This record gives sequence, structure tokens and C-alpha cells, in this order.
Amino acid sequence: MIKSILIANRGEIAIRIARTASRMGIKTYGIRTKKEPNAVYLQKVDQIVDFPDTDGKVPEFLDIPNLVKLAVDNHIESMHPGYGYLSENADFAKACRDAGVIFIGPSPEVIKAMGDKIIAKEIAHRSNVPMVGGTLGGIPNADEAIKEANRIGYPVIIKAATGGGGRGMRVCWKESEVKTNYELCTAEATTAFNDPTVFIEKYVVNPKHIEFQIVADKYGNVVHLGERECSIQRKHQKLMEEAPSPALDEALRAKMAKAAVDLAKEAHYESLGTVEFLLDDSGNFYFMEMNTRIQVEHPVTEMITGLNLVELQLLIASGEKLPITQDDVKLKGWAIECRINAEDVQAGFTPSIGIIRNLRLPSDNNIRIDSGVRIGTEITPFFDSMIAKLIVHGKDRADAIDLTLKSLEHFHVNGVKTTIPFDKMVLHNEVFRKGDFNTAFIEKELKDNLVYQEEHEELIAALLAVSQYNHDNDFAQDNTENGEQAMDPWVLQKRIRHL
Amino acid sequence: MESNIQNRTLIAVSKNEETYEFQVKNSYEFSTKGQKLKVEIIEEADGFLFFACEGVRYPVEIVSVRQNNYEVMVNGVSYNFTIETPFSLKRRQILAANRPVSDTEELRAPMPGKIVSVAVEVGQEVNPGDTLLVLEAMKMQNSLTTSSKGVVTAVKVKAGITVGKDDLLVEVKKA
Repeated sequence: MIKSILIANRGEIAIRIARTASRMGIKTYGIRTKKEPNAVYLQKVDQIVDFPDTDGKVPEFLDIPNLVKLAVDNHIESMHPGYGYLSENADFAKACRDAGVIFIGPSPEVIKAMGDKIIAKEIAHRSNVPMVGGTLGGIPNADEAIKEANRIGYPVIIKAATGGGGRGMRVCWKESEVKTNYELCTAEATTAFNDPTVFIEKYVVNPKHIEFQIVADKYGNVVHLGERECSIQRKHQKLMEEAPSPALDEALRAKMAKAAVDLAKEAHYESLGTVEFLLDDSGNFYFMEMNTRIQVEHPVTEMITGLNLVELQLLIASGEKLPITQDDVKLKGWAIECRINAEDVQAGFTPSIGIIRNLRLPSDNNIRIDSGVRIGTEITPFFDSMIAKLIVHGKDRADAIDLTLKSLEHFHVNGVKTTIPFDKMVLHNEVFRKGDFNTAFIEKELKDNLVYQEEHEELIAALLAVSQYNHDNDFAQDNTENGEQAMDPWVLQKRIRHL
Repeated sequence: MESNIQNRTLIAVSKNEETYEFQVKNSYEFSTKGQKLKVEIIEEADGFLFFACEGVRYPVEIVSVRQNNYEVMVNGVSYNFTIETPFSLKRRQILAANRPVSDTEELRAPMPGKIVSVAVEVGQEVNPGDTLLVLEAMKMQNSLTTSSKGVVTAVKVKAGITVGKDDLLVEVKKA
């Protein structure tokens, strides 16, 4: 077994990793940065190492040489990248390996292959995983792009091979748009990802986003842990996830799970991984990409399987055999995760910056909160806006929705605005409750009503403001205001004229 | 005088010019449209504030008070009101009717962050909805748009610099 671990991440995921590693007897190291030297995650690790002074051009958790050096200098055996940051960076995985530090994740070669969408598509093709029609390789020029687009049929999407996060992607609805979009996309890909390669595929309109969790050891054992429904998204950012998905029946689940496992086997995958699919209205599914790290939304899978994914990840990285077989995996009940972000939904999901002045978390059976903040934590523009995740486990979907709503009623944050009123809006929506939604849900169903308000809530708010004003301005002694009320109407008119 | 105080009228005007009129009997009894409303502000042991109206409790926060402008939060949703007396409301309406309409739109930073790119230059014509610049905060890129049709008269920032909340970024002279 691994004996020590450097957590190259912050916030709730650093705490999540430290909790399991400590329980397994692994010594945990956290990294203190100048940007948040008093962060909560530093209290949850066995030992703290300080990030060295740098010119600050490269953010701490993206600084490969310094992170690797921290591990080597402190004789730390392994490196956990968490999610985001360097978690899917093949160079980081390689730098760790070259320095003799165990990278907790797949090999650099596998990360690189899955990170290149064209290579990933080739692997999917070899393992007979369904894909949206499109080109297998890169497109050399605009004329070729038009030819391919016409062959595939519109709408099509042009994508950067090494793109991600919604950048380097353009949809073409007709032939006349292809040339411009090809050129724009190539230019974007060059500036953003330093690789001009683009490819074309069929664009699936308003699909559902379904992903399968797989776990694989180095002995070729691959097990899937069911799917997660991640269609509640805004600008490609997931906001709420659940497991299982209301869109899948047993037959479809089995088919998609087989595809995910076949793909992982073909890629010689090792560690935790997520295979993302698009699912259309007719039940056709298409491989989109594979994420080679732990996901933000992993707790919903843990809830319904009873497994600890970080524990499995650490066992695999230690070279052990998977302790479970496919038959051991039983999906029980329904789990929902709400990402609680410090964002002002009423102002278009803009970041809400400030200090968490007060915090009250719900507490109940079957709920779990993964949080990286406490009272006094400053929400800065340096880091992403997620402050906590609420994960709820119900006996079925309706039960999980009700328990989530109840928990949100008891989740209070003062000091910054959060996405809680948005979460409530989704959970109250009839279309969501029926389970019949896709990635267009927010723009189609919520439109301008993005926050949940109870009946007469604005009246209550007005009354609160009036009562506070009444309190702040003690009228019984306020002669000016009384004077105005009692003023001769002629004088009043004269005053108004002179305003 | 006594009755005057007891039947004071206060009007909350929302951002959308929605008005809510209340008669104030005392600090805990109000009425609106003939309906009596008994209220109470409760601060719990851990510092959270609740507003009880006719026995129903709402988690609330007084976010800011600037003169007679109140921003309050109910159930995590924020509301902005200005509180007026019947006289001050009348004054406000007269002022609003007489106020010369500003012909310049000032785009200010809605939050602290870093300017990623500036999409316009001085002299450029813009239309409502056009992106003026992109501001990055918390790793999210936010396009800031104009609500006016007009001409850009000043660009106060350039790509790469960091700005504070409410810093002036771009001015647009309305056509």
C-alpha cells in the first residue's frame, strides 16, 4: 500500500481525499498557498507543506515542477491531483513518474490518448462503441470540411481535437456556414490549445448527457458502477447531477455499460474513469469523451453503490487487485447532488464574492455535505465558485427530490449569494420531476425564472424592508418627517417647485 | 399627532417600480390592503435572522442599507426597495419626470476581476446586446454588454489588467 500522499488540490476535494486516505492509514500532505493560508482543507491533512515563493505567473496547482519538487523534497510517495487543475495533464503524470512519485490516475500515455479527441475516437471505433457520424481524423482545409459536412448531414459541429470546456467548438446548420466556422475554429484552437487540428461530427440537438463510472485495475479487470445523469447544465457547466438516470431502462443501461467497459478495455485503462455519452430522444447513444480523473459528481455513485471511489482509486494506484467484481455492484435507491456555488443567479450566475459571515448546514439521515468552507472563509476571485456539494440519498427518485428540497430549506449561507434558490427551482419544476429533460432544460423550462420564490415572497420582502426602515427611523421622535406630513400644502408645492 | 404616527404610511418601491403600501401601527403591526400583518424579527443563537409574518418564518438577511435603499434577502433571493413616505414618493415621481435623461451609458465592473479582452474601441458604433469586453472572475469569463445604441466615447481599460468592483470600464454616448 501507498504510505504517503501529496494532495495537489484545494477545497472540498482535498478534504474528501484526505478523509479516506487517513482512514486507510496513509499519511496525507496538504499544500498551503499564499492565496488562502487559512483554508479549511489544511486542517484535514496530517502535514502541511508550503508552496514556495514564485513569480506567481503560474497558479500553484498548475505548477508542475514545483508540485513534483514538493513531493520529492518531502519524500512523499504519491500525488493525488483531484479534479480540474492538472488532473488530466499527461505531462504532470509523466513528471511524477519520472521523479519516482506515484501519480494517482492512469498512465501519461492513456491520459494523452483520451485527451486527444481524435485518438479517443479511434479507440472508441476499435471497440465498436457508437459514435456520432463524422471524420475520424483531422480536417486539412475548408474545402474538405465542406465535403465532409455535406456527407455527414446538417447540423454538424466542428471541434478542436485538443479542445475542452466549451471552447473551440462551432455548430454549422447549413453549408454556407462551414467555411467561416472552419477558419474560426482552427484559429481558436491554435490560440487556445496550441494545436490547429479540428474534426467534424454530427451535431446532436439537445441531447441528454449521461456518463458511466468505470473502475479498472492493472490486471485487466474493469467494472462499471452505473451511470450519472448530468443534463442540468448551463454553458457546459454541470449544476446538478443524479444517479441513476431516469432516461435509462435496464436494457439501455446494460448496452451503454458494455460500451463503457469495452472502451476502457481497448484503452488498457487503469484507475477511475468516466465515459461520457450523448443520448438522443430515440434512445441512441454516442461516445463523447472519457474523463481520466475523479469527477466532482462522484458522490452520487458512492451513494447508490455504497462504494468509496477514492478508496478504490488508492488501492489501484497501490497496485492491488480490484476488491469487487461486476456482480458485487448493486445499485440501491436514488441520489441527487446539488452544487452550491457562490454565484448570483439573479445577475446571470455571476460570481458572488465576499466573506461567509454565517453558515448553517442541514443534517439528516441519508444526506452528505462535502464542503471546503466555514464561517469566515473569504470567497475570492482566484478559485472556482463551488463552496459545497449537497448529496442526498432517497429510496426512489421522488423521495430523493423531496429530501433534497427539505435539506435545501435548512441550508443557510450569509455573506454571499448562492445557487440554492436555483436548485429549488429545478427541483420544483414539473418537467424535471417527470424525469423528461435534456441539456436544453434551463433555457427551455426556466427561461427568466431562475430562482424559486414562494408565493407573496416579494410582498414579504417589502414588508421586511419597511419594518426595518421603521426600526431604523424612529418616527415618534422624527420631527422632520412628521413636519412634512403636517405641512401646509402650499408650502409643500413651493418646495417641490424648487427641487 | 398621536393618530398621525399610528397610521403612518410607508411605501416600498421595487426595482421594477412595483409599489407595496403599508400602514404602520407600531413596530410589529402593519397592514396592507385592509389585511393586518403581525411581524417579528428573530435572531437565533447562531446569528441567523428570521422574519416571522403571521406566524410563518422566513430566513432573511438585511444585505445593505443606504439612506432609504434597502437590499434584503428572503430565502436566498435578494430584493431591492426604496422606502418612501407618500410625500417623498410624490417628490421622487416629480423629480423623475423632470430629470434630464443621461445620454451616456457608463459600463462599470460588476465584480472584481481581470479584463480578458476588449471588443470595442473609441468611435465604434454599438447596438444593444453588443459585447464591450470580457471580464474573468473565478475562472469564468463574463461578456459585458451594452444596453444602448450609440458610439463608444471612452475605453478606460485594456486586456490583462485587473479591475475592482464598480470601476469605470467603457462609456457609450447614446445615439
